[in-house]
Amino acid sequence: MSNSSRLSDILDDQIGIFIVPDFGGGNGIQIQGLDSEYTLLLVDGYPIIGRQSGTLDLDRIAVGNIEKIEIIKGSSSSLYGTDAIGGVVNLITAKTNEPFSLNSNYKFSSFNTNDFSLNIGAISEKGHNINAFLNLFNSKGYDLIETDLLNTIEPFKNLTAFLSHNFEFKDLSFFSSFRMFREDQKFRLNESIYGNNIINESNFNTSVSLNKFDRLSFVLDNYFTRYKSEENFSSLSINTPESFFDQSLFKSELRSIFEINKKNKLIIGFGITNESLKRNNFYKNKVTQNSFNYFVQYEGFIFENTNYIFGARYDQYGEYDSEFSPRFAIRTQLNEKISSKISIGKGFKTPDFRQLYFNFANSSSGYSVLGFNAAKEIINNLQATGQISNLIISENEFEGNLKPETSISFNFGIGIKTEKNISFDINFFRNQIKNLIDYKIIATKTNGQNIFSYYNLNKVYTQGIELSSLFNLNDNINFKIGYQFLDAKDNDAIKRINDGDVYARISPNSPAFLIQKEDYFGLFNRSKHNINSKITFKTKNNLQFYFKSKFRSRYGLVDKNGNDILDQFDEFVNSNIISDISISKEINNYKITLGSDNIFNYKDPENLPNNPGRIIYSKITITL
Amino acid sequence: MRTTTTYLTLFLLILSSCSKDNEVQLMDVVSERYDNLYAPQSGGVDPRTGQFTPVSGEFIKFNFSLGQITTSDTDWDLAFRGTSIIVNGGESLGTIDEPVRTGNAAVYIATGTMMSVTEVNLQQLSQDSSVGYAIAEGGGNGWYTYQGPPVNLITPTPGKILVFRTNDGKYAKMEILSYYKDAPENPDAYTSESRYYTFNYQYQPNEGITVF
Repeated sequence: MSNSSRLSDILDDQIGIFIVPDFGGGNGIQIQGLDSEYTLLLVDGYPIIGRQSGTLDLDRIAVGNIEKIEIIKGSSSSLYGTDAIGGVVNLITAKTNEPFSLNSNYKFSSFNTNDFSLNIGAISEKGHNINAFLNLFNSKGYDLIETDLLNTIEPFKNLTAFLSHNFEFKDLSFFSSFRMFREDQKFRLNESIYGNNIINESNFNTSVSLNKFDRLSFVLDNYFTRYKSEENFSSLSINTPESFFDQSLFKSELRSIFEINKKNKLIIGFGITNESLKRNNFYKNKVTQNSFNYFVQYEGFIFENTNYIFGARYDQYGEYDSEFSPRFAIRTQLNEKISSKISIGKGFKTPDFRQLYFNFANSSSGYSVLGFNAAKEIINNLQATGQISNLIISENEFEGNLKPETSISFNFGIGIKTEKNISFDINFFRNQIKNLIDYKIIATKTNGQNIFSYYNLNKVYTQGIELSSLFNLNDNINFKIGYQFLDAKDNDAIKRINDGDVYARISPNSPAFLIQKEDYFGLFNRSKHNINSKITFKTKNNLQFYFKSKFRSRYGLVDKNGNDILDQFDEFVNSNIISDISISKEINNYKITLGSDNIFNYKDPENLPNNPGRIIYSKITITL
Repeated sequence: MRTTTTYLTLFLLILSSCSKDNEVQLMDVVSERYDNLYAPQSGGVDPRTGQFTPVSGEFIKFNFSLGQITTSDTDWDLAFRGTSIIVNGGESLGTIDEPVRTGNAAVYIATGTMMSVTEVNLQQLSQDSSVGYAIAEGGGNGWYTYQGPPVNLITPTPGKILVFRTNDGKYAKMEILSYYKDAPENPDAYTSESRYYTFNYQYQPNEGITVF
């Protein structure tokens, strides 16, 4: 309905899901106050990789062939393994139901942006179900700050192609798909260094199910994906190396599903994962990692109206501690209208390769960042050659391994369906995360440069209330609203404030003072209140109106007064509302849409470079 | 001769009573603000090429009793160059253009405000040495917080009070307010001129008094 072909917009359209700009640029999903780094993104159950600076750019994913989005909130590593701390987003691709189907659309919007999609589906007489999708997307980009040389978003063009095949043969069913993405974007470092940045991504999977036995079935999944990004300078530059990032992942998993009876089901399985990465600024030429996992899940009933799921998974790693992740969820249908849900689960995220092997020197500001594993050896070498003037950490802090970040999440929700046209859900959540990885100074070199490395440092929590409600006034008018109250803080910062160790300064012209507990605002880039709502309205002559609004209360991005925490005296991005509107008309196989995103033209170039302001578009869709 | 002695005795009496009065009447603690102490440096990392050349350039010296910068080789208490702050006591780290320490100045960083730090903790005082300055270098270690990209700002860490023993054995405390010219309300690492120190200080001019 948002008329967009990018995942960021489609997720933004989901009630109760909040898309926020990430630090690394791009848009990320923030589930229950946890950053996109802590959300696993899957297409048909297979993970998307290529988190170059930790976050995953949602604008990379074209969604013209996505039929359904499944969102699990809260930690669920019991089923999905690493990264499923905040939640899991699974995009299910469409399968045609007809012998032949075709859907194509073209959208033209502000900043000379062209977006073309084509979906073709066919079912052969023998039952082969084939679906193909193509998306071409290009834009001139935009510039919010015209006084500098660089554009905010440089011109780019990208292409997404997808092909899937489903087939059933006797007791076997096959599913395989192939997806590729290629993007070419101009980039400019300064006046003399410019060129292109090319991203190539491909994903390939096959899945075979065997349903030969009465209540027992087996599934074998194989998946390979590769994400490669590289800069190509067209200018001459001697001192700046071209950057590159080449990651690949192979996954294989075998599951057995045993249906004990109609209500009880047992799933047991195991899998292996092989991951590798080559990139610039790395301590090793190529790093690889193998891991093994074993999992079990049991679904059953206690009473007639109460079902539960118990799952557990064990992930075994070479480079860091192995993880055991259980989860338990129970749901009770209290009566026809009211149901309740409780879940408690563990989540984890392994350190990424950057946190282990980074070897990066910032040439302009004069500091370097080393991965934990790289730091051990590099510091030893620097010490041996007398280049360290001050070792800030103690030698034994190099012992052992960096630990995975782990979370425990608790959710309690109640769902009410009054009549068939009104529903109301409320959910209380709390996520406690520990061993959060952050960087700190480990040494100073004799030339005055600081060396940073990654450590398990912080403990943070996020807690809050989620509300969502749906009213279908009649068949033609539909209203949805979602609200989230969020309290997200650093446990250690609270302790430091209570101990009277944190000071603040209102302006560079005033003296510092001790801050109070209530002056602490919480984690960066978190709003206390988020609301999104949308209304759709259809007239008798097939005219459709759509209006969406999202509200974000004020939030902070920068620790302005240098005390390492976000407090009342820092700088904040003001509360804001962004509204989208569109109107569509269907005529036979055609649909024409006119619309505007961010119609009230909210902008904040300094803090929100991802927001270009008002966008106007028109779109035509043909369905056969 | 008698007369002379009498006069002398009288004179000595007046003199001693005068000096007794002086001991009772302490001089007031000096509370001042110093704006835009410019402390440039050469070398370091060239932002354009990424090449590192050793840091050099004259340290700008400050004398608390004068309340002024000075070029004296001996009568200075502390000195600034870029983000580095040295004291006139201890040994040189050996960087280019670093002045010889001639005095017995020392320093430590206290946590608190100008109001709350009221007494010098003599045990904590330390001097520069051949392995590092008494005021540690680098963001987060000493007097400032460095906020990485894209902000790249140097912000004096609130709650850090620099407590000095001066070259002539008196005491002073200092709160650095800004590292940018004219202490702008919203400094910008790209447009604001840096290496301009603005600070508040209090100087205890009375010998041997460790409270402010």
